This record gives sequence, structure tokens and C-alpha cells, in this order.
Amino acid sequence: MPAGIPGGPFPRERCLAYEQILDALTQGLIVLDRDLRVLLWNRWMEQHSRLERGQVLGRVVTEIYPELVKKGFVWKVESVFKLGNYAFFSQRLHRFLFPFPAANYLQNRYEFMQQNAVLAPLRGPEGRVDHVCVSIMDHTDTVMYQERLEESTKRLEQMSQTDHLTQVANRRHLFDRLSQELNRVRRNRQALSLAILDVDHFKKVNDTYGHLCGDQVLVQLAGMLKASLRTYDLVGRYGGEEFCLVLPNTNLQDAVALVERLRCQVSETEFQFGRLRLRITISAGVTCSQDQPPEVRADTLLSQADEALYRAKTSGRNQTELAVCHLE
Amino acid sequence: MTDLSEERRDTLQEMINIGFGRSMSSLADLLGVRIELSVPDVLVIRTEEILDYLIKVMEGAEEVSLVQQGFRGEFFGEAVLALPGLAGRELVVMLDEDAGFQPALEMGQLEMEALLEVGNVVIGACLGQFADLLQTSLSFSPPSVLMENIHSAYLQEVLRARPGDALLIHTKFRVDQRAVMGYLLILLPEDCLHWLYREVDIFLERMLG
Repeated sequence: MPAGIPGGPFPRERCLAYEQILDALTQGLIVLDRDLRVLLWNRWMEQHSRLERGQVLGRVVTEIYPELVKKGFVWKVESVFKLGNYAFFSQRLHRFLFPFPAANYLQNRYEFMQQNAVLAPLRGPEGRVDHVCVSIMDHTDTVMYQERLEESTKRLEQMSQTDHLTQVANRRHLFDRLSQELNRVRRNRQALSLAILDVDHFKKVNDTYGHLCGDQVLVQLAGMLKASLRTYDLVGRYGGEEFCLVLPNTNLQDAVALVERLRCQVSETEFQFGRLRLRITISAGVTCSQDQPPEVRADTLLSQADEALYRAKTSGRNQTELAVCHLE
Repeated sequence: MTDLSEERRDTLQEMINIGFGRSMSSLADLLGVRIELSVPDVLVIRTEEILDYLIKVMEGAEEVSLVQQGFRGEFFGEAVLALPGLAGRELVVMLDEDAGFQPALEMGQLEMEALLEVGNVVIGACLGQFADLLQTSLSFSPPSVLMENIHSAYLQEVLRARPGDALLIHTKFRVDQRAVMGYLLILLPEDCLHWLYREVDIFLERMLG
């Protein structure tokens, strides 16, 4: 055991036992002095750093591992010396302290071993902090399981919100988002608009060209809608051939302009299914939270837009209608 | 024996003040700024009321950053440093300009690291010296940081403690010359109060004797 380990001279047997205990630990253990010189480097450190004690003892640790400086290591060691407290390196933020190869041979998700580290003060006989003890824990496995779990949770969440065919929001997510946005409207009093769009004579497309063709038309239409909206707008599939647009921070006038633009764009677009080219039109109903009581609910807006859509259909299709409450 | 008497309350206040005072200059040295604590409130609180208490002291702040750290020794508990949501960014600037604290991290993570670090040193400085006055020492778990809406269900989940009474030591802290202020809450569960009160009594006798 190197000289200078706090705790003073041990009786020989005890010293031998301590030495073995430190080497038996399944975590890294380093002791540094005020100048960041290495006084102890246990076997775990030897194994993972591939540096033997002889190569590191007495050397300044940031010269052996210059990348420690970029992690704020020197500052934290300072804090332990100055305040006599613990300091920590969290894997979540730093991934690792020492760039050791990941120890697990059978997984290659991480190039480097994921580590948490603790810096603890070691006091001399007068109670002054003379050394800092750094312990390093391999958390690669835990992190891997956690990340896998997070990924699958995210995937499931995504799936539970997405319409399988068109990959836009499904009806449930649409309703959730609309309710959330309405809560926000209540706080900031900005206008929120809602539009329902429906493909005209969609049954004919299905009956004439088959359901696969109809599906393809919906996929293309959904893609078009998504591409022409702002990032904070939401498009969702409301029903069979019905789509819904949630437009936060948009007044009625702008919403109508947007929907009209989309309607014209759709009528001018050639939809493709294999070699087949076909044209469709859409009808739309639009409503807006402005001029309505602040506590207006999602289902109220939906039924207003739905009613307007119905009027657009009955008065000839390929047109946009406003909700009754906005008609003067 | 087990009550928070007026005398014990005063002694605890005094001990936190002395303890923090002792580490104030090293803390200033490390952070490059002076941190001031107000005279702490010491009260007994039901654990299920902690969140409501926090909401009250945060005076209407919606977004909050909480640094939470457990400590363990002859007495044990949980310390929480509560800051308004934007304080993290202030701390990044402060540590960078005044303390030369520059880990190579992205902004969001740097903010968390700054919160963790300030939380860790302030909590450590306060409790470490407090323990020292009680002639004992503590070990600390790694701090964790939460940036949440104060009304979030998640926060309620996290701050839900075992039911019962706890001793709450609550103090306001302020960073000199900077627009950063927050609150330090130290929670000591019922189980360790017997020990704590006895030691506080001994401390008081020593002071008076």
C-alpha cells in the first residue's frame, strides 16, 4: 500500500487485509492528494484502465486522463477539499467519468462503460481534508435496461397516439390535444381554430378502384395535410375519410384561409395508386374559440365543425363552411 | 422530551446559522459569489402537507426546479433546494463567470448540472456543519434534480413521504449580487427526532455551561 494513505500506519496484518479488501471491491477506488496525484489505484481500476499501479501512482490524474478537465472534475475535487463534502458525477449527465471500454463483451450498445462516481473527503488526524477518495461504479447494465424500457415505453406511447394507416394522430390523441390546447386558451386567451375535412364521394373511390386504392388516397392526403401545417398544429384522423385540424393561436379568418388553400391544393392534385391517377375534392367545416365562452369544450367545438361540414356537403361539396356561431 | 420546545427551536435555528456561517467563506470561494441564508423557520409538519407548504413558499411560481438529496448518519432525512424555474440558467451563467465551472455539456444538461452542483454544495455546507456541531457526521446520496410544474402529479408522487410528522427546517437563500433566490428545506422524519432533540439539549447545555 502506498505511503500517505490516511488513517496512519496500520499493524502489518491489518494493512494486508485492507489491501486485499480494496482489491476485492467490484468498483473503482482512487485516492488523490491536493495536487491531484494518485495515491491509490485499486485492482478494479487497473483492470478497466489497463494501467498498472506502477504506471499511475504519484502521477497527476488529469495528466493521465486530460478529458477529466472537460467534465468539471477539477472543480468538484476543489469543492470536496474546500467544503469537506461529497461530490457526485451522475451518469445521466456525464455518461462516464473515466473513458473505460464497456466491460460487457456481449453487448455493444455503449462504447464506454457508463459510470456514476462519488468523490468523498478523507480527513487527516486534525480533521482537515487531506485527500479525496473517488469511487467509480459501473452502471452500464442498469442504464441499458433503463434505456430499453424508456424506448419501448416511448414506442408504445407513439403507437397509442397514431393512426395505423395514415400515421397522423388518432382520434383519441386528437381529442386529448384539443382539450389541452383549450386549457391553454383559457389561460392565455388566444384563439384556437378547429377544422374537419372530409373526402367527397369517398365511397365511390373505394367501390370503383378498391379499398387498397382508397387507403392510398387517405395516406397521401394525410401526408399533404401534415406537410402544409406548422409544427404546433395537429392533424388527426377523425373517422373513416375524415381528418381534423387543430390550429392553436389561429383566428377564424386565418383558419378559413388555410383550409381553403388546402381544399384548392387537394382539388389540383393528382393522387396515385399504381398506374392509376385520380382526382378528389374535400369539404370542410371550420370553427374557432374566439367569440365563445372561455370554458368552451372540445366536444362542443367538434360538433360545431361537424355541423358546418354537413352544410358544406349538402350545398354541393368541394367547399368550406363556417360554424353557425360564426355566421352573421 | 419529544416536543419541539421554544428552546429547542431557537437552538436549532442558531445551529443552522452558525453551521452555515462557518462554511460561507469556502462556499463563496468555490462559487465566486456569496450565498446568504435567512434565519430558518423550524416547525413540525405532517408529511402529506409538505407539497402544499412548498407551493406556499414558492409564492406563485409555476415552474420550479428542485434539487433533492438524502442524508444519513445518526440522524437522517431529505434536503430539498427549491428554486423558481428560470434559476437554473442564472446559475449556469453565475458558475461560468464567477467560478470557472465549465463542464462540456449541452445547455439543458449544463443547467441540470449547475442545479445539482449548487444544490449539492449548499445542502452539504449547511448540513455538514450542522452535523459537525452535533459532533457527528453524515453521508449524502447523490442529488437528483426535478424541473417540473409545481402542480404536476409527478411532483406529488416524488414528494410523497411516509405518513407521519416530520421536523422541517426551512430557510430562504439568496445569492449576493445575482437575481437568484430560493428555499432550502430540510426534512427530518419522526424516527430520528428523539436522538436529535437529545443532542440539541446537550449542545445547549454545553453552550450555557
